[in-house]
Amino acid sequence: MKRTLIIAALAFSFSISALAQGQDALPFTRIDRDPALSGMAGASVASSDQASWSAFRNAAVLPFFQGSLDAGIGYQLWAPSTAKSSNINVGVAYKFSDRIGLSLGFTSQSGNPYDVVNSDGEVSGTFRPTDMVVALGFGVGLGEKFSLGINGRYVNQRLGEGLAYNGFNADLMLMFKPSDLFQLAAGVSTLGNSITAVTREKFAQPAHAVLGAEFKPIHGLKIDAEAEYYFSKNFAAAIGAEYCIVDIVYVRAGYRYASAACVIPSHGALGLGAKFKGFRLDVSYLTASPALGNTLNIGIGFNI
Amino acid sequence: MRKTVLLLLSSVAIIGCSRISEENANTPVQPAGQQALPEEAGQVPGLMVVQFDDDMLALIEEDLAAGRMQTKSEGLNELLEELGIEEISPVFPEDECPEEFRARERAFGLRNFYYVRYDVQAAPLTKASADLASLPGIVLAEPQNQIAIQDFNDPMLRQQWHYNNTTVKGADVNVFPVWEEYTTGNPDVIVSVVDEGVDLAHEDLAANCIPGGPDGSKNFSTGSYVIDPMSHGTHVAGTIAAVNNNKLGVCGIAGGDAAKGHKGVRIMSCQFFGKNRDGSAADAIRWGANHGAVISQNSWGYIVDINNDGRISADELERAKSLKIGATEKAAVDYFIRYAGCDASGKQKADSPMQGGIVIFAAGNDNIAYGAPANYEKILAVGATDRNARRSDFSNYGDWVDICAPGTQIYSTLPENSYGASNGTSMACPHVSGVAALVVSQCGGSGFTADMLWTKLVNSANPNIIQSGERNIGPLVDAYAAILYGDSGEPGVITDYEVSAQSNNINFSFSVPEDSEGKANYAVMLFASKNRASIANLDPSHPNSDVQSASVLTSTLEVGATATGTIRLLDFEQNYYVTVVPYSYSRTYATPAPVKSVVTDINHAPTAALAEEGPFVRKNYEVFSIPLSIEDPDGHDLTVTYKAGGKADILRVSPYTGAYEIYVTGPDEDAGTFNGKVSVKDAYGLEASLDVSFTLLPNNKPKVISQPENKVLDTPGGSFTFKSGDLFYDEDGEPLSYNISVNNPSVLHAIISNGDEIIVTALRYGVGTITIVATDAKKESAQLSFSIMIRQAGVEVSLYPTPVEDMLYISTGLTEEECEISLYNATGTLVYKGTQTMSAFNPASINMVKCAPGRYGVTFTYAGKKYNQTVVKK
Repeated sequence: MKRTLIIAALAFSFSISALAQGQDALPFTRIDRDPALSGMAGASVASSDQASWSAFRNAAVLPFFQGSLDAGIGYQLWAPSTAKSSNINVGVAYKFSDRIGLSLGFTSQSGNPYDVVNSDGEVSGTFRPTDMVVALGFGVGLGEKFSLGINGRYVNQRLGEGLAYNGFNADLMLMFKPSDLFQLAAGVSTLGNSITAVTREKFAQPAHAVLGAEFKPIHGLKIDAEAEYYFSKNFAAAIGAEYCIVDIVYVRAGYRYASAACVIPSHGALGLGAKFKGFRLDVSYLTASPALGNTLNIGIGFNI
Repeated sequence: MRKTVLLLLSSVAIIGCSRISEENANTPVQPAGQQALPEEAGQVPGLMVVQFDDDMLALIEEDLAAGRMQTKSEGLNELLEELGIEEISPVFPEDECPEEFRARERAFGLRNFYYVRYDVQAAPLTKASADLASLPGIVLAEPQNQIAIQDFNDPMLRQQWHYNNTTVKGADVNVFPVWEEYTTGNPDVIVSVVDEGVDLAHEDLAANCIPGGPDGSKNFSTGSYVIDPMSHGTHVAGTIAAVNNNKLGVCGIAGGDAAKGHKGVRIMSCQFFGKNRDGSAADAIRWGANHGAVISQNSWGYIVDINNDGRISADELERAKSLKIGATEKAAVDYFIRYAGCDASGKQKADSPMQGGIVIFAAGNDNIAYGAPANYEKILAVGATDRNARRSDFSNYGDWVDICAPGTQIYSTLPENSYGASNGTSMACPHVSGVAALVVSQCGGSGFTADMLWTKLVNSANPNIIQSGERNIGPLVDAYAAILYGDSGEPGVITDYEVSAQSNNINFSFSVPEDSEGKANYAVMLFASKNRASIANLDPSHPNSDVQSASVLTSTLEVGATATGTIRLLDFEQNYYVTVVPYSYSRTYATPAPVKSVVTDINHAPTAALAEEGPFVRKNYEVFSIPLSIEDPDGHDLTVTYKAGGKADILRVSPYTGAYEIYVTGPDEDAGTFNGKVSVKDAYGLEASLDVSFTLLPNNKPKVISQPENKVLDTPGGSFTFKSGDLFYDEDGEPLSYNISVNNPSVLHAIISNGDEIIVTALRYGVGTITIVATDAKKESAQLSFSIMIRQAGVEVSLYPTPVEDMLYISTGLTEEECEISLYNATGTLVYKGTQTMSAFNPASINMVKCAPGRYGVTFTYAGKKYNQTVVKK
């Protein structure tokens, strides 16, 4: 069964890759919603912390999540100097048993309003474009060291009066945790339908293969890294680190490198967080990017 | 066959019209169930008549004459497709006009009328009419009214009661005493029968008919000289000039006396009703004027019973009420009245019996108070009577009807040597034409005018005998009274006179005699012959064939005043015997004066000179005349020809002075000096010549002297103006013509008003470019363009269109700046980065066709200000 799924997913990804000659459709699906791990430049695919956001990145982490319930909510000011949007993000994860977990996510994005102008330059009104993502993740343990995760997402984009696009995409992830110090994740992400523009051009979603790892060499220090290969022939890699001080304060930093046309451009990230009795507060700030500079993500969470 | 059916239907129509019209007179409201007339009712489908002004004519005439529909008029060219125009043809083709009359026809404006045939599927009549009428350069655009004969509608009778009515004595045209005492007609008088074709070979007509030919009868329905014999036209012609006293058929009013060898007046058949297609009635009327006719006989009118149901509905009556003569027919009628019997200079021809013409129309058979074109005031409109001295019940009536004549059961000729009776004002009308022909035969000659004929016909007609009640059809025509009308009694006598010769002309001088009523004698005939006996035994009413004569009108002079006259074109150096004979208005002749003799002189050569001193140096755009002084000392007719010096100069008779001139159209020729030569020859071969030289200076093309700046406006509906003279300059000082165009007419509207004021109106937001082309008479031009942007107030930059489908444009302020532009997608991926020079009228552009649908951010810095704008890709 597993092999069948993988083959099917690869076949799907190739067909999408063939379409992906121009820009990615519905790219905002790839924005990291986690206010903590975005402070590590989004190098988060192998991290099982903050499982509430796993529906957006990797549901395979759910069996390795050290708790039964995790919830988070955040506000994100995305790319304020270029393609600005204000995002509200919500995520919840619940473990039914040691082997099975489920996560839900919801995002609402609100872009800057724009003037509706015809080809003669005549303004007929204004419109505020919005985006929405609803995500569902399912993780199952495969023995003590392996797990499998599947995410499915419904994506909606309203660009104008009577002008909207809908899409679906999915992730299929595998996780390997040989010890408490190291865990590895790999899979394919954002496999979805193509979007057809008014001009009849077709555009693929940013499907890609991902490989990530998390390493905790000493107590309080966590290092995450991941690499992404997009079927549109783009490449990205990110690395981030988190250092915990007295199990309360968390300091984070990271850097993402992305090829020129990659869906999330290169940027640096800084983050700060605090945890106390199951509650947490996290802030991240993106920098070193003309496009994403000054992006801010702040959120609170809770887990038991 | 077609006409037979039409005639039968028309018989019913006349009966029906009588009843319905009376009802409608008291009930103007449209009866229930009747449908309103369609807009094209009574009009020829797909045919408009337009009158171009002279400027427009100059633009299009050459192309149309060459058979090209596309002309130099852009406006007309646009209408070609819009209206589906299939043909534009002159109403009065110039090639059918004798050379000598072309100048006067052009001056009279006949050349400005054109038929426009268009596709009725492409444009309804109202649109065609409105579109054409709104085109600058078109003075008039009107549909062509359908024309119908005043049809026959009753069975034949075998007696011509209309010449001698025994039922009501006196209720006829009273022609018998004229035949007995004065005349039966004169072949010098030509009546053009504008109608169906006349049977020119009819046994009772042929002797008085002019055969088809370039100077004779013509078929305007086919454009040939072959006349198709048809009933209506033949019947009408028979009433006027069926041969009398020949033991055949019927009598015509002015048909001559065959037994005595006297020919009647001549019929010129101007057929415009055809078997398959109708021709131009206007052209047919004009033809008569240019080919010797002085009476135009017209038994036709516009259709009133549109649906041909035999009833005149309220709508049809209302339409008839407003119906008036069409523009082309009016022009032709005016032309006939003015120029029939006249030479190119507008003077009465020596061999014409009348100066000017009379146009006679049937009033119509609809028993209504309206009728066109007969109701035109310059037309003599004829109503119809019956043998009981009553108005024929079908006859139209009203104060506009000038005169009446018998029109019921009229017996006359029909094709193929047959005869028959018919009813209609169509039959009454030729009675008046026949009487008019008799009057001209008796009273015509030098100085006799169409106005005099009108007066004699109308003022002498009997106003008391016809019972028409309140439905006036005018007095009954009376041939005898018309001959006698205005007679001042017995003519006076001339006992002495002076006579002298000038070349082959003999000049007479005498004192105006007093008639029996003490007034100046009406006129004096001058006679000359090389045979003394022909003068000594002169019968002034029928002089011998070797006698030549002329007439001098003296009634306008005082008794005793000196009058002069001339007999022209005699033989040179011959002894002539001469006399003078006064005569009265009714052609009663006095005793001839004593016979004298005179010897004619030699011929003298004509002279040709410039009437103004040269040199004639003009700018290239100018149109000017070089007046000539061309004379013949003997008063002979001259043949004047001109060998042009170039493409611009022609010889013509000035429409203003009547003198010859070289007419130079500068724009037709390039700069240079041109030498033409005028050659003058008299009728006897003596010649003179004159060299004419003129210079056209080089043309200077127009220049742009001020380039308007591009503008940004923020208020749709606002206007601003330019003076074209502030933008362009022509060194020659010539008036320029301007053409203005807008590349985006939904945004901008621009027109030229009063010739030089350019008014630009902003219609809506957007950008448009206005191009103005100034063209001089040599078609050399200069042009400029400028752009207008209408943008909402407060908007500094504009990204459009949004949402964008392919090309995104970014326009800024008026100043052009080089800007770096970046385009990011929703996740911040840089999609485009480039440097472009942009301004309000030179917007930057980004091709977004390869961008996925979504939200994008555009960043750039202009005028020191950084912009971050959101756009959306569809």
